[in-house]
Amino acid sequence: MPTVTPVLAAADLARDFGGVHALRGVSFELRAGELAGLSGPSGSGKTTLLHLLATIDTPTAGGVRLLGREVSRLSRGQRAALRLQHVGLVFADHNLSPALTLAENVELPLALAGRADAAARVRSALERLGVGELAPRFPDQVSSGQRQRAAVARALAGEPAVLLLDEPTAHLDSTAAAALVEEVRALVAERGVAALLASHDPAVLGRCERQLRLRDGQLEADA
Amino acid sequence: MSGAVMLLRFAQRGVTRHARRSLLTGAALAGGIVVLTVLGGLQDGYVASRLQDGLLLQLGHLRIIGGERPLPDPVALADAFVVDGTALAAAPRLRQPAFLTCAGGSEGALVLGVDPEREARVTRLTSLVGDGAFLPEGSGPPPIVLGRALAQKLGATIGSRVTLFVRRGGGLGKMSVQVSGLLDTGGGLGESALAVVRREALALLLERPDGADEVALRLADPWQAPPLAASLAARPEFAGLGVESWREMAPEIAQAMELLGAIERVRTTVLFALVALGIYTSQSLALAARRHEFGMLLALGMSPARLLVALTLELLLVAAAAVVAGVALAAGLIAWLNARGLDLSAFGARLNGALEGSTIVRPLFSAHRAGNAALWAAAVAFLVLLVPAARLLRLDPATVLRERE
Repeated sequence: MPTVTPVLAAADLARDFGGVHALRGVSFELRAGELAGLSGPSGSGKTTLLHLLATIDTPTAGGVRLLGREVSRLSRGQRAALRLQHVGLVFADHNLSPALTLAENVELPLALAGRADAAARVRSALERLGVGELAPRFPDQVSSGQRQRAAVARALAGEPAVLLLDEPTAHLDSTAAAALVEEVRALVAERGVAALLASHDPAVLGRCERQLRLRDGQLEADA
Repeated sequence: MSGAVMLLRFAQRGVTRHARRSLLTGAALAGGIVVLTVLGGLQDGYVASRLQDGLLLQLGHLRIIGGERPLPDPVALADAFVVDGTALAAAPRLRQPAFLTCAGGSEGALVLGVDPEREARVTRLTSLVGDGAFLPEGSGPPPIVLGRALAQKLGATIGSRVTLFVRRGGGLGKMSVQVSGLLDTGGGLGESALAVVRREALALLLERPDGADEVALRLADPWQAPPLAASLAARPEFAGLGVESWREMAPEIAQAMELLGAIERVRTTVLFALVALGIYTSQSLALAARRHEFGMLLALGMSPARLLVALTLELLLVAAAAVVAGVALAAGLIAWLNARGLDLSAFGARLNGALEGSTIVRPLFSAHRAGNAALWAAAVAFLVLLVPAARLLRLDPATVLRERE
């Protein structure tokens, strides 16, 4: 069950790109165990918002609080360390390293974070997502659905406080997309992660318990 | 798996996944090492040949000469150097400018008085007699060996009588000698202005009861001659005597070595500038092609410093393979050229005295030289990596991820 304390909070977030307002005055909170869907037309600012929440990018104005701590003004190195410890990221295009096997891709952030039980976490995460047998294969040796499952396993293996998914089902068929989102929903509830899933797909968004809608860089709806 | 092991694995996979780029970079580095090591080996071979052929023609590696006082018992001194292991061999000599006349002409020359058996252990003089014999014993006039060109100028052949004039005290001394052999030294002063007689005959002519004005030494390692000369000169028993290594006796060889050293520095700089350009181009293209991959790693939380470590490891793996391959190839090539020998007589014919002695140069492999080339290669590779890597470290992952959308 969601707790009262917000895990992730955006406060009056704004991001400009050379005079173009990509985001303006976006504020909301995400709590542990909550899976929120993020929708909006192309160019509405979904990816920009996810990048700001992930601390990959820094806001022009406003701030991001993660586990009660203001994080958007930290140094580049501090933000990188923060992502390794507390943020799980899934991109539209899986973004697995082609040089590493699926298992190594999942293990990479754990190893960089100095997690002692990395091997067990990798095995468990891949098996939980149904790609445990594909662990020794390279990304180009499995299907796009399997790659995306491995990407989710990578994002969740470190047991992050926040999971941010940017169009994770963009390259999947509807069956694979539904199955993946169901897995994500179960894991979010099971592990008490605060998750935000950006998508264009109404079927995918319909599986999220809360809906955030962006239009022209502003939060149009939060229901 | 620890972070370090993961980075090493990432680097190793990077090398194999981008095989063509790794091969190009490795080939550039290995090529630089091979060229530098082989050219250096040729240079070392040439220098060794000059030391062997030039110095051991008649100079020796080191000599003790009379100075403020005459040499005390030169024969005993020569024997002492051999007995205590300082020298492989030592020979007392007399060296005297002289005027030679024969039926066909007259010429000035340097006359060397030697003990044939001892001289054979110190220099190559005795083996360079092309016609006749080297100062044979026997009755009759004392024998003399002439450089072939000198003999031609004098109109002398084997058996010819030559009169030797030397300054002795306030006047002239003369002695009639008989040509026993002709020297073929490969050109230079050895053929045109050198004559050799037995030491006792020259001592008699000069009325020198001490019988020698120098002791020439042959050492196991000619490079040890300069420090040994300095060390001997500092000893009290050599006070008032002169101690000269080949650097003082043959300054032209030392100068040639300095010139070769300067050429080598220029060659190294130019070569590695070219290698650096090649590596820079290949690394820049490779890193640009992997921009998205690196942006993703930064987005996941890899620090720029760790990314630089991974890239450095990648380059180190390529450089290590290039060093092994380059040194092995250079050693093999040098061994082959050493066994075969490079005949430079065509060059020697135009440069009088440059190849006095043997015209065959045999390159020498030097682990020190190969090590230096490898260090140069690694340093250049690392420096060249820094430029595109610095750009990479400023990479904004958000920008990179947006580019893919």
